Amino acid sequence: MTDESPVNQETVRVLAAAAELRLASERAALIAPMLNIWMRQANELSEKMSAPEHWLLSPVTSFKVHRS
Amino acid sequence: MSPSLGTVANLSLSEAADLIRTRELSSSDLVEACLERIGALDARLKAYISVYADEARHVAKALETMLVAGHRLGPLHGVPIALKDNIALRGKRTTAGSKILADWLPDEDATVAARLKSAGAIIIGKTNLHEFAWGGTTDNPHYGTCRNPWNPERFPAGSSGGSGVAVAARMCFGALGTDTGGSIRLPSAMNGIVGIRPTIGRVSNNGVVPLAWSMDTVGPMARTVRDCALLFNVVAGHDPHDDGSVLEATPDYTAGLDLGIRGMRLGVMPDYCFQHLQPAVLDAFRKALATLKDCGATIVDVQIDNIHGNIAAQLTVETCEPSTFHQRWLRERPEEYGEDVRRLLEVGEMMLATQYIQAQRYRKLLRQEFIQAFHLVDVFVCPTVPFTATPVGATTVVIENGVEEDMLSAIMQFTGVPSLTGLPSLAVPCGFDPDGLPIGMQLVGRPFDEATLFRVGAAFQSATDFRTHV
Repeated sequence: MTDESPVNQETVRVLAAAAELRLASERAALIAPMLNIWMRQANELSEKMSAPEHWLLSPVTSFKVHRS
Repeated sequence: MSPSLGTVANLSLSEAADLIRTRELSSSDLVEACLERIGALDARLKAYISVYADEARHVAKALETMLVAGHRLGPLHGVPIALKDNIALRGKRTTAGSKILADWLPDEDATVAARLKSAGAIIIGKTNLHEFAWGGTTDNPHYGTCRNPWNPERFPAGSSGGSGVAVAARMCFGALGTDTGGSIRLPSAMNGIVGIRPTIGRVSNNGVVPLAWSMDTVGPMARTVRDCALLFNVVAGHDPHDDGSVLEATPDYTAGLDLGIRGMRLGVMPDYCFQHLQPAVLDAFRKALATLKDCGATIVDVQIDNIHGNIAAQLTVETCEPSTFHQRWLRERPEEYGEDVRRLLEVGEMMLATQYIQAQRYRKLLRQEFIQAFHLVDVFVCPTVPFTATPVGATTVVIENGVEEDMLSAIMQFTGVPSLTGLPSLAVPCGFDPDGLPIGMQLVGRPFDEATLFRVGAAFQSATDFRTHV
């Protein structure tokens, strides 16, 4: 992980504490690499979905019939 | 002279059901054929968590008596079917592949299980799965590593790996799986069988242990498209016990199987469907398109502008929702999870709400683009998985240029799209790689138009012989 990584082991510990999830110390090292990749991808998606052309798009909250 | 058990086990579900109906075979013949295969193979393949040998024999005898008396329960009368072990069966251990639910005895059948029984099916056992259906290998730390019958040193994929293996290895005539990000279609592709992910809401989830509520669905897995359609006839339809179940008419899904596909428009996404594939998968996919063209279909190039981003959305939704369901157990019994699932659940606790909601907004965007594209085509076609079965124990895969990739992300390249959009999709065998491992093709259809998927799949199976390989 680089310095630009959004997530490191300390971040994992902070997020776990915020969620009141007790985490054994060794688990932060296991979680951080995966969370780092997925956070990065999720942030890219968030950036895409924040583009002006999508500003009125509401999230899917139900699955009704969409007849074409 | 009665056929041998081996011959019986090789019958398709439809053939077996017909022979029962005409009383040329008995339910007991079918049950014994499956039990013989289970006895011979399952110590190694680990497709089943529970097998109901005695009960299946008793039910078979009862169904034979009923048939003699003129009572045929339905289209599955006397046919052995397996259930993934996250589908509740009254009074039977339903583990979801976990230690946490190792002793759970449901009070009621899941709606799909009840429908199978009402149609005359004999539930022969419950199949192995990735723990809580959260993963794509069926490498289960509690009930054993499920293995691919085409090569037991390879994974069968997952999470419905046990159902895929049981069907492919003739240990049942059909099975139910569940699919969130690909869990029916992935093992269907890797084991050379047919499996459908229905339109979301088409099949009841009542009595099924959830993974990610907004994408979960049950669906059948079988050796032929016709068998899959026959099973789908039984399980599809509205269920008042499931709030997500849709009031939409269900046709006879076997009715149009022989209509052919002349004049049908099949869409491919050239910048997505031919990219990032192992060479054997690319070759098989190109040949499959040529076969479909020979059957009279037109192949149409279609651009889906926002197709890229779907894997991130898939992982975000599929990370956050399971972690919500498992929140209490993850705090009280974390050591009872396998390491991979525990880590995924912990990661899901740490994703942000805004990331999850942006992923949900992306789902709507993607669905709008596909709905629009269905003005141009009737069905989309793509590979099911970009690679063939990986070695047991692997967590990475090489798809191209010698680059190792995380398998969980890579495996969702094509199956994630129907999961996100809610569209139905059918996995059909379309070839083999040089090592003899199966390759699958995925058909994606309009909402609630599973019948057209079955029709295309049946036309493809009529023109090819991949289903006959054993």
